[in-house]
Order: sequence, then C-alpha cells, then structure tokens
Amino acid sequence: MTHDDYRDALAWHALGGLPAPELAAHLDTCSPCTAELDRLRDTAAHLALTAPPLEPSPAHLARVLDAIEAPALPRIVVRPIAAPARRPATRQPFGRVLGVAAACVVAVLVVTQVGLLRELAAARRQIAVMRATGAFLSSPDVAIVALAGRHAHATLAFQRSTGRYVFLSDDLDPPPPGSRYQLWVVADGVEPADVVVAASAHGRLATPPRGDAPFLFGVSLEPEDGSDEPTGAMLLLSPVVRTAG
Amino acid sequence: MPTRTAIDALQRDAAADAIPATDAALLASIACGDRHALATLHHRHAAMLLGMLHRLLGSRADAEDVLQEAFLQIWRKAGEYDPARGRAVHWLATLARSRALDRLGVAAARRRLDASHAASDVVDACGDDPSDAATDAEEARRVRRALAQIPDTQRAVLELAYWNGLSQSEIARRLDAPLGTIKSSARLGLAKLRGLLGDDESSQGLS
Repeated sequence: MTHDDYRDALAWHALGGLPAPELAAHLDTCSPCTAELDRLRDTAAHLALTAPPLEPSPAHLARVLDAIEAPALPRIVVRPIAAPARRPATRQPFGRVLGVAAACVVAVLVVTQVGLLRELAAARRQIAVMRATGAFLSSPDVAIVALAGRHAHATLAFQRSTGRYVFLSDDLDPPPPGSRYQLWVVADGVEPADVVVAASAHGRLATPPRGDAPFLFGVSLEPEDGSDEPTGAMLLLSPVVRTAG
Repeated sequence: MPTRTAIDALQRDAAADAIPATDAALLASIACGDRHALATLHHRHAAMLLGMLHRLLGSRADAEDVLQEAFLQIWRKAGEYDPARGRAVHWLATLARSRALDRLGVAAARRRLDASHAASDVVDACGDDPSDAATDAEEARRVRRALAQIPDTQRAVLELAYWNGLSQSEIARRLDAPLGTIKSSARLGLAKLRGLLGDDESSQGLS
C-alpha cells in the first residue's frame, strides 16, 4: 500500500478513531505518515476552541497546585517481629548507678518533650495559617493571578471586596539592601498597592482595583521608603485582569 | 499622581520582557518544575479547556475533575511536548480530551449524542468572558468562521467524530450517507479546515 491508501484512515485516527492494526504498523515505520498525522491532529484540535469557554471555580488552580505539591505517601512495610526470649530476672549490683542513669533519662525525656511541644505548637500555628489561607483562597470573590518575569514568578490571590491578598513566590530574590519590592495596580493610572518586602506576603491592598475597569498587577524594585510611581523596571507583571467588581 | 509615561513604561516592559510570550515557553518551564508557569498556563487556557470538557462530559463537576487531572498530566508530561508537532494549545486540548474520553469510555461517549448538544447550550448561559483567554476567544471565532465555510456533510462528520465519538458507521447511519463518503469527508473536512486556518497560523502568539 502507498501513503495515499492511508489518507482517509489517518484523518479518522486524527479525530480520535482507533487505528486499524495495519495503519498502526505502518505508522511505526513511516515518518511522512506520522508527520501527516501530527498535522491532522493539530488541525482537529482547533475544534476544541469552538466550545463556549467556562471559567473554573476560583479554588481550582489551588487544588491543582496542592495536588502537585502533595508528596507521595511513603510506602509502609510491616514486618512481623519475633518476640525476644525472656531472660530470668537478675539482681543489679549497681543500683545507685542505675538510679542516676534513670534520672538522666527522665531529664532527657523532659527536655525532649519540651522541644517536641514547641515543635508541635509551631506546627499547629503553621496549620492554622494554612487553614486560613485555604479558606481565603476558597472565598467566592478571590481571584488568583499569576505574575511572571524573566527571572521570577509569583502568584497573587486577592479579594475584590476586601482588598485582602496573599502573595507567594519561590524564586524572587531578597531585595538588595536599601530597596524593597513594591506591588502596583495598573489601570487608568499606576497606583501603589502595597509594599512586598519578601517572597511571601499578605495583607490588604492599599489601593484596591476600582470598579469594573481592566487592570493588571506589577512588581518593581523601589527604594526602601517606597515610591509614588514606579522608578524601576517591572520585574513581574500579571496578565490583564477583568474580574467584575 | 502617576504619569502616563509610567503606564507606557509598564506596557513596554510587559511587551518586551516580563511576560513569557508563548505557551511553548511555559511548557518548557513546567518541564523544569516551574509551578508558576503552570499557574500561568492555567490562567490562560483553563476556561477554554473547561468549556471543551463540559461539552464532552455534560457535567461541570466531572469537567473540573478531569481538568485537574489534565493539569497534573501537563505537569508530568510537559517535557514531551514537541513544538515541531503542533501548537502547544492544541497539545493541551488533545491531552485534556483524551482524559475526558478515558473517563467516559468510548461506548458511553457514543451514547451521549443528544446530551452533549444540550450541555453546550447550557454553557452559553453561564460562561464568563475570561479576560486572559481573550486569545482563545479570538481563535475560537476564527475557527467557527472557518467551519462555517466547510460543506455541511464534512463539518457534520468532523463534529460528530470529535464531540460525540461516533464511529464511521454510526455517522453514516445518522447522516444517511454511504460509508465511503463519511471516510473521505473526514479527510476532506480536515484538509479544508487546515487550508482555511493555515494562512495566518504563524501569526498566532500561542505557540
């Protein structure tokens, strides 16, 4: 058979039909037909765009990112442990030494317990912050905006009704001494929204976006005292946001 | 008060430097473990993909589940995307559609002929105008215009195969047309669509 004999079958396969065994075998060895299949699939994929768009729920992205970050559960292997053979009790001749040792053990346990309690308290605080953040991200009018630049990325979740926001970045370097990052709302004008001093920050936007006008967020490096308008290049910018107010 | 110059500077920065220009570049970043690139890709195309999945599955809850599975798969497989084989947005759509068909099962997909059309009508009423999918929206209008220029039988074959997962024999029965006509219509329809869309393909900024 020639390439032409497979043309109809290639088109059908590109639309999602299963290939006949003969076509599948042919594709394994024929690069022109494989390339044609890629082109046909690329054309067929245009159809996806004709469905009316549907905005995902506000928490959808957070769920995706959570799923990515969730570590795989460790595999627990349970092995039977043989019970140790009982030994007859023997009298310890060094009772005092044992008493001191026991006291040391108790002391170590107390110190360890104090450390563990501190860690537990810190973990509880962290969980509370995570819960609060999760609740915030799940709020109905919270929008999540990705900011991107050449050297860093960030995610900004903000609530139009209250101006509250959470800003997170993994790769934003600490600002040089004497400077800090500043968050801007760019709409009809450029207005300082807040000062972002680190890779993660939260608070309320000093100048929340007003009305329904489209806007975008930007982050620039500014003097430590902050600026009324950007003096440095925008290191991070979001796409235009048109969330209804 | 901020000056117009400052706004112009911002827009210049955005155009010249700060925002990754292409989906292909985002996929490359995702392949290197960049979660923010995944967030940007989600921001840009989730509405389009969810619309497609809703039309295929007929349930918003199922569509959101599959969309999440699709983005997890994008996270794992971004390195497999090859720009030479097609546009990135089409790779995303193909991947998401495959997940949807996996969920439906081919037989179930084929039974959903009437329901899927009803679902698409419902979406029209609740669909937002997602700002950052503006390019998708423009592209969708272009595709719809192109489809409108394709002969009716060819267009019907493409849509019944793509959206309803019907077999060639089922499409032949539904359209009351010879099987040979259906087979050639798929090829001719795709060729026509490619021709209509191909002229300005290179000018699109998504890949």
